Amino acid sequence: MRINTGWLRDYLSEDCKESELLDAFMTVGLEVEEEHNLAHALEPIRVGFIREKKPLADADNLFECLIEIEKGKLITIVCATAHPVEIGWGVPVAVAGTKLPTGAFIAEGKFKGIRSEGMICLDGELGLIAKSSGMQVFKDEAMLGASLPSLSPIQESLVEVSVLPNRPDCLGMIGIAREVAAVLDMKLKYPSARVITPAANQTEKVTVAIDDDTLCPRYACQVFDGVQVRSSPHWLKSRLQTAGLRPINNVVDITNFVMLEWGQPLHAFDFDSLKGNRIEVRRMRKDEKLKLLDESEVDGAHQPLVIADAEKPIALAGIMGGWSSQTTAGSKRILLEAACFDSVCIRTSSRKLRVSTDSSYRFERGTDPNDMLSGAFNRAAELLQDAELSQAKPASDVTDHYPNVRERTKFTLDSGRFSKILGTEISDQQIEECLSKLEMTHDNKLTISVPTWRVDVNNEVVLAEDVARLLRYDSIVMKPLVATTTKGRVSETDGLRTKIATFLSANGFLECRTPPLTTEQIALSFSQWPGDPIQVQNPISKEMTTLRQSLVGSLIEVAERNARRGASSFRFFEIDRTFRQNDDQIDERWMIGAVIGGAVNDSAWIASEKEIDFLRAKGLVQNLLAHISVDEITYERDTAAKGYRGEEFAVIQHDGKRIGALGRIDLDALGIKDRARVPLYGVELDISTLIKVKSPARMFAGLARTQMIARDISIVVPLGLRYAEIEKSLSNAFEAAVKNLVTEPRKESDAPVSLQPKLESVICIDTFVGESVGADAQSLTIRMLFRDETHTLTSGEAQQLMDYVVEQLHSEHGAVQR
Amino acid sequence: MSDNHDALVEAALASITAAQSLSELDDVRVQYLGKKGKLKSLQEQLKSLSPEEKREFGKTLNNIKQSIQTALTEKKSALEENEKSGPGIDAIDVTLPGVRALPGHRHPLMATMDEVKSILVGLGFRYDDYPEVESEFYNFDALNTPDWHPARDMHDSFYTTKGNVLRTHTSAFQTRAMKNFGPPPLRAMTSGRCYRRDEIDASHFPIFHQLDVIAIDENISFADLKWVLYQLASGLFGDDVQLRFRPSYFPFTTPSAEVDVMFNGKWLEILGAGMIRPEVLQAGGVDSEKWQGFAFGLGIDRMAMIRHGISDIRLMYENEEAFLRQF
Repeated sequence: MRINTGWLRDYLSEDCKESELLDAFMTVGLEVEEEHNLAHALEPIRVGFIREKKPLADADNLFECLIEIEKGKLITIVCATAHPVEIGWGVPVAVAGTKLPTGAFIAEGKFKGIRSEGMICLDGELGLIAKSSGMQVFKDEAMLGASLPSLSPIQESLVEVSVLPNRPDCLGMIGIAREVAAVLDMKLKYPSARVITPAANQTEKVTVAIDDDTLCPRYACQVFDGVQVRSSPHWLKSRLQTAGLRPINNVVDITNFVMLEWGQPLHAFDFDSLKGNRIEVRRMRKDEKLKLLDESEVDGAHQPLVIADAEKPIALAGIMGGWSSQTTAGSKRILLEAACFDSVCIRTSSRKLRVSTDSSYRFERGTDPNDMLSGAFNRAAELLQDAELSQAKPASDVTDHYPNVRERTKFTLDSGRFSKILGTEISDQQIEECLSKLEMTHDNKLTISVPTWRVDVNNEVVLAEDVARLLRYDSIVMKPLVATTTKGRVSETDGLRTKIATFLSANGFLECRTPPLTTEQIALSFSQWPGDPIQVQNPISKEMTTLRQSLVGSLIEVAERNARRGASSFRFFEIDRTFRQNDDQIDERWMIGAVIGGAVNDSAWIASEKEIDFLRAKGLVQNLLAHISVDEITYERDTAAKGYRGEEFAVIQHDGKRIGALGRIDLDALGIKDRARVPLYGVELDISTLIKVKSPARMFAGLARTQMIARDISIVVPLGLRYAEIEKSLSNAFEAAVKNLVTEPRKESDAPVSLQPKLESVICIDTFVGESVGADAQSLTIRMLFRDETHTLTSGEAQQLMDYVVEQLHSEHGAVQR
Repeated sequence: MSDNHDALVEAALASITAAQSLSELDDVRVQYLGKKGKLKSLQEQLKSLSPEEKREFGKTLNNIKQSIQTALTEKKSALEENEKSGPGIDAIDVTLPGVRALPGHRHPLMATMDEVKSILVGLGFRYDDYPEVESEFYNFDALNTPDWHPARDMHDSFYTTKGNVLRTHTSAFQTRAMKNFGPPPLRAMTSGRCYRRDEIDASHFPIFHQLDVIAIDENISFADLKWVLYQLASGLFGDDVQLRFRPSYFPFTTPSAEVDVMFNGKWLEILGAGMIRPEVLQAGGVDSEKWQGFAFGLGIDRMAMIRHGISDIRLMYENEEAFLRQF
């Protein structure tokens, strides 16, 4: 809600300081979104003198003015008769390109072929409330070109206040002034509102019939005769303009003004267009139609609540008036309406019909059927009769349908409870003082009666907030938390995530945050587990429709984006959830995803710089898993998940169960243009599973002091034979060899020793494919490290073991020692 | 005799000092201490002396020999030192860049989130994960925000085709935590992604990060809330941090406050807080007559932007190396 502080002072005091007001907004909890001090914001507005003025040909209500804006500089402005200016006057001018504090941008325009290079500004257009003529006029030529604020002291600001949804009573000046007055310890000045009684000879009678009192608890209306529909006076027009509303005619302006003042929406029907002197408040019938003020048409499909005359709907209750019953220049008699509607009912209609107005906004949040409604009705009735306005006369009694008067809610408060909640000593007297400033009354037992405009007070704790607000939050002194000690900790999964992130960032990876809600293509690529995609029914763009099932797709996009920026090596990771739905079960699976490619080191000047390939990527995964104590991992070929290339792909398993995947990215399959120009590898591991399979604290295995025996074997094996098979055979063969081992006598003792050598490490140290080994074969060199824990093996014993192993590899795989 | 001998020592020391290399030095050694060296010829004289004189002259000879030997040794190690690391040697250019993979970096959002978490863990809060695909009940209803409530307008939500909501705030965890961990005392938190249908601009992104906290006990008050927030803020912004509490509105707390921090001479809004409403405690199965507590929630994106001086939220989701390497 936009508030002109000058207008707000109408309800406080003329000499209320600007800075105090702004401070009060914050203290009381009215959030100031934007603030324009007009004394400063109107600096660009200059006084220009009108040198020539002539009617625009073919346009009754337009004039072409030649205006001197600085010594010797003339511009042309086309202005309307609403701006009654004369030659020789100095007027506020906004030249084209100026942005006014109201948000309006002054652009160059063209009217009937005449270029208009600015605007002559009325007070309201500048965001000021008009004092008299509606426009500031200067006669002294010395003021030519001077900025407006330098000539007339401006004590007004435009403040955009965000009224939170619990306080619809603050959707009017009076509500805001009440809050401000409470915190500044001032008295709220209500506008005058005489109770209007019709002259004795006015005998129109309107009946009101309400189908469901719960949807419309109160409906008040009155007929006015002799209405003169015309333009409103400047004080009224400018006030509407400061709030961002367009003046229309005095009758409509009055209803809008009173709504802004009281927060209670009103409506004025053209009484002569209504049938049967009867108002009905009812659901719209399915076969009915209603053309609204904005010329749109609603039908009865959703059966919204309507106001109807004896025959047909004439307004969408609480939302918008009907076209045919609107007040026009020709209207003679009007029916003024003030009503209270059920907030949920209005909200539902407004949502379903997608019509939202200043009126529905207020009704949806809840209006007050008592003081706000009566105050607004009386105020509007008074203004309608005002000589300066429409000079109407009441032509009927007030028909006031209000069967069940809404009573004030009462709470018996306990200052002990308030003290306990706020953590500071609060006395009965403090509670009474604070709440009475908000017009809440109390008896001597601290029973508080809450005005019905406070729709938010449904629990006494809300009153604790009112007390705390008015005492000011700053006055509550913090105190160290004295409470039962609780164990602070992160969850095990979170701890693991941090450990992984630390490892990867220490290994050159950059952590990313990419949107989990992405395109269907990216969301479903690289997915390793079955499950239905989770999609949103109301996406805001094509880029965000589906919750992803893998992190790799998003990271590929990151890599490609960086490739566009010239990157040539890629190390990115992200830790996040992936989403699947299986029937009603939602699977939110935490994953670690990484993409890697390009140079191993960022040292391109070294000639021996290597590029990441499958095995280097695998090495990183191995180290990561070792770092987090996940052992007994196997890498198996499998059908590649979508987005990976089949020839360089492995599922990563623990105990035969999939925990992740590693593979080379297939950019073609993703339809991504290859900008990276190096092979990219994607890795993804399931943290939810890792947490279950990681080893507990590792146990000390003892240290063998005997000498480690290292032996290399070089064998030629068929090409298709997988290394893991060889390693497995080799380990088995070694165990068998140990069983058959014949111990040799040792120098130190002739007693026979018992040997149980263990194979501690098997590493492939060289592979070779080439003519010398034959077309369908490869040569492997494997280094074996082994020892017995108590005796160093003799070279003869070592040789026995190796011979056996080589023989086994030959018989199992046809391996030939080179 | 002694004059002659002094001259000999002086000459020897001068030659040692003058030696430029180990080989030159060795020449000097041979000249004096070698088999045909000058000392040898002096030694020859011993034979012709009386036992008395022999003893005396022997001492002198020893002194001479020691002086020269000491000087030689010192000079030798000096020359050796010079040859290993002196300026003249053919050394590697130590100013060439190291061969390395550039260091990785945590994302500023995650680093900030971890920092906030660790401060709160120290204050006795437990961290757990909660669903992102959430039911309307936990996201709204349980937080005193029924379907018709106008406060729902503040959250333009994404709904899944199956009718769930993508949590619009981490506050959705509050009543789940109360139910999960049984009767108070309870101090719990969560953090992570939240989703709202916001237009993307410099300060809005439809997917963002929050961290939410609750503390429930018999006497936890608004004053305690202020203290905890000061602990958190001083952990993040330094001991002399200034906070400002403004009244605000959240359907699930009252009194509610918006909290600003003074940063670089400006008040910046950083979090929302308040005392948990009785309705919410009850929805979480907690007896609101016996227990009370506070809740607060902060935007991690905004916090990271303030701490690191990041002007545009979009930068954090573009993941450009040039950006990520700065933190």
